[in-house]
Amino acid sequence: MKVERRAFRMAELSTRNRDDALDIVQDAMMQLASKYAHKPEEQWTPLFYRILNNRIMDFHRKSSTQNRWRVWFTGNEDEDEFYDPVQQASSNEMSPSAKADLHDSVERTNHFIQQLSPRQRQAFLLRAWEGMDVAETAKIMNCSQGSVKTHYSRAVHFLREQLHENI
Amino acid sequence: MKEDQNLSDEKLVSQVCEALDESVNRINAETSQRIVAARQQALASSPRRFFSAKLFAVTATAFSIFLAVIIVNTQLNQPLENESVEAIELMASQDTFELYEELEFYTWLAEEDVTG
Repeated sequence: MKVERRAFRMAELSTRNRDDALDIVQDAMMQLASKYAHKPEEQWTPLFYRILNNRIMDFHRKSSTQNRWRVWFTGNEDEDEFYDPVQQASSNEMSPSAKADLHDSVERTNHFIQQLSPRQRQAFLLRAWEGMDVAETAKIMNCSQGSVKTHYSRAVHFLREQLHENI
Repeated sequence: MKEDQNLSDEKLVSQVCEALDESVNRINAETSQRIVAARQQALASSPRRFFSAKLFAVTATAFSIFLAVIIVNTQLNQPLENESVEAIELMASQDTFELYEELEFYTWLAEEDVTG
């Protein structure tokens, strides 16, 4: 149960939407159960996170595509009818309610983790929170170990700057 | 300087992880229930059930074949009854079948009887 709850949090930090996060976690669990149930139990957790991360990246790609089409059709880049978390992640503007939430250390941390790029967030959550080593993280993220180190280092650098500034 | 930086990073990472753990604890009851439901749904769709049904079918078939082999073997090993022995002896005898071998002669004889 612990893994699913943490997975849900990871997905929610990436999508910023509870229902999307639940859909992603459910999809990942369904795929794990239907395709990998025959695998040894110790492989389930890394497999689950690999599926989960693929789903999250699919979500970002889909959101970006939808956003591009929206801009192309409406010609209005400011309208935020379709939410694009990738674009949002680069924005440092905060709503008043978000500013109020930042008094809480948990909300503050979540807020800055949401501002990381998707790959930096994945690398940080898998390495720091899930305690996976570089090789495992690279396998889950489907990239080189060097890329994992770079993403992780940038994530830590960003969080250090933001959290120290906002204490 | 670098050690200080590493210590500072470790502390930062530890604080962030604590906050993340706390955020997991704050997941509300409704969302928790939905996560449990999603897990149960995933488990229900697991092919393990299919595998167990398939395993049962294979076992049942293998057992049936095993039983059939035992029954056939038992019957083959039983002593033959008199009628069966006579039939086999008749089949295995070296005597020639005259009727079969001289079929043309008996056909001619029958025709002669009719015409003659």
